[in-house]
Amino acid sequence: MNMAVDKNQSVLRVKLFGLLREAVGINEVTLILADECITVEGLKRDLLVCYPVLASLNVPFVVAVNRKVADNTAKITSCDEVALLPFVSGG
Amino acid sequence: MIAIVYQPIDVSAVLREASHDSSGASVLFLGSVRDHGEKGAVSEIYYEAYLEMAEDALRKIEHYVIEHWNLLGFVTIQRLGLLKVGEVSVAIAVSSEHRKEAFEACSYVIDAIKQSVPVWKKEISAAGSRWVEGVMLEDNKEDGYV
Repeated sequence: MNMAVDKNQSVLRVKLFGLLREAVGINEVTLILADECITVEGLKRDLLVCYPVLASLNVPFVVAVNRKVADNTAKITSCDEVALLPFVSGG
Repeated sequence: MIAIVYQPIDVSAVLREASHDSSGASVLFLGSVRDHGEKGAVSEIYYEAYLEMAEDALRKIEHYVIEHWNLLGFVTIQRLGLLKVGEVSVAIAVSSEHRKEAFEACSYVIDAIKQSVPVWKKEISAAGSRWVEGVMLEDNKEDGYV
């Protein structure tokens, strides 16, 4: 999603995997942060608004921040490595 | 050693790499693509991973099992990409002084992979495709995964 970015705003890049990646059609989405940081809960809320296809999928996912699963209260900045992870099925 | 690869896994090399002159037991586990899933026939499975996080998770499993079961050798390789029925998707080889530790460790590793490594698979058949529903990743426990 292309949006104009104010010089005071920062852009968070979010990696997608599995059926989330396939549904959106790209490996990574971006979100413009209104503030310096956002919580995981806020990220989920904003992503579902910006990318309605994620909401329509109605599948659970967790958020990894810097390669670790983060809880809803964790704070994220544009410097963090962030990914949405649906249920895994390795092996 | 751990690795995530796109090319076919050389299972003989995996077993050889895990062997050790002081070990009395080696166990090799191979996960492969079967011709059916919960929803019917399967012709291929597509595997993808969050590579960096998956490598971190495999290394954590490696460190845990080597210490917990006093392993003398450890190799785990996860393959990604499009695999046909019969192809090996994951190979685990461990060696230890006695067989009990090797069996237990190998069993633990495959369970831990399924619960803690960000890998996804999509079953493909003539009728279509579906992402396999596994488990949600959780915060890694400090003393193990299972």
